[in-house]
Amino acid sequence: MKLSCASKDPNMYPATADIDIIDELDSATRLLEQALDRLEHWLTPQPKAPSGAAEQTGARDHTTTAAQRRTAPYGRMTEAGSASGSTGRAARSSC
Amino acid sequence: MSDSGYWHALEKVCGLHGDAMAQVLRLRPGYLRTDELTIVVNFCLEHSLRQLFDAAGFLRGGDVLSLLRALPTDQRHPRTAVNALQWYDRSGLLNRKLPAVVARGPLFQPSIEWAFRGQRRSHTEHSLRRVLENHRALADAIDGLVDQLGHPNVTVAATASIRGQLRKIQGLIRSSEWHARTAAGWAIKNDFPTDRVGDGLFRIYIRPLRRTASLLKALEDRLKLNNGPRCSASARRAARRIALELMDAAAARPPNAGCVDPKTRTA
Repeated sequence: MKLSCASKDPNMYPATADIDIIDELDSATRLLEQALDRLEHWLTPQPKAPSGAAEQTGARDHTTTAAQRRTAPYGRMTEAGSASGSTGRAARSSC
Repeated sequence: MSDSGYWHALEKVCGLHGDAMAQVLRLRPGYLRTDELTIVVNFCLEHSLRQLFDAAGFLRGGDVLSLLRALPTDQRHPRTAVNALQWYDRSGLLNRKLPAVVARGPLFQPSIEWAFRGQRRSHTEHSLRRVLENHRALADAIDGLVDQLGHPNVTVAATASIRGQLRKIQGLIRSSEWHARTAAGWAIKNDFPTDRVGDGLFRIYIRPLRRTASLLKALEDRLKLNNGPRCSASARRAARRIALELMDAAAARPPNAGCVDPKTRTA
């Protein structure tokens, strides 16, 4: 909080009066925001794998679970690779 | 007897015998205004004077002076006057809404207001620090709650520990509201612009609290916690109360009253 002010009459009040806990307040607020992010993440329904792409190609890798696909590195590219029938090596090499 | 009648009678006596009373209290005669001297005399002798007033319906200057002279030497001291004025300053703020604090305006003459500036600032700091500590505790409590809830896809029963965590969150929200209001009140008393106090509180208090309220509402709905502590409702109401008070206070007092923005100051 910017709690500083300068008076019209400099002889009556000090020119500025800052409170030095602004940074601490900001960091505590950020900490709270992070905790709220965690709660929001818990509350948000987990997104399912987009069904449109699989339906279009007609192929889907049923050997991997939705959770594995979500957490896989290069997620979309790996899925695209598996959808095209490759093992994902082409996708990784393109990176 | 009415309270206003007592104060009126005491103020009248202090107006007539102000110099003598100031001498007894070892104050410079004429330094304190009559209303300030009334506060000091009431602080020293409230119980005895109220008994006298209730019995007779009026106060005599001689009685008040003799009661003052009968006080122990260490109480007939300028420090007592400072304590009395500080007590009055606090009583004009604590448990009062922000528009009421603004409406009362400066309580004392400019030199005393100036002398109290540092102390008011330390009160603001203290309350802001409590808000800060509550934020940290709230973050810990919410983290603990998420840990207890477990995996999002697993249906959780509304266990007693979750309810306990929610009660803890509710207590922290209540404490933060009190300290946020107090911090804002002391800052406004210290002549900080009301709109800036409002901006600051919105950023550090109201915005996170509104988000907390909406997330807790979603959590309570999901866990079907209808008969437990309704944290979301109390958080939403607390944010609303402070926001409304800040808006009313800003409306009651023109922006930058008594203060000039250092960035825009040309002198």
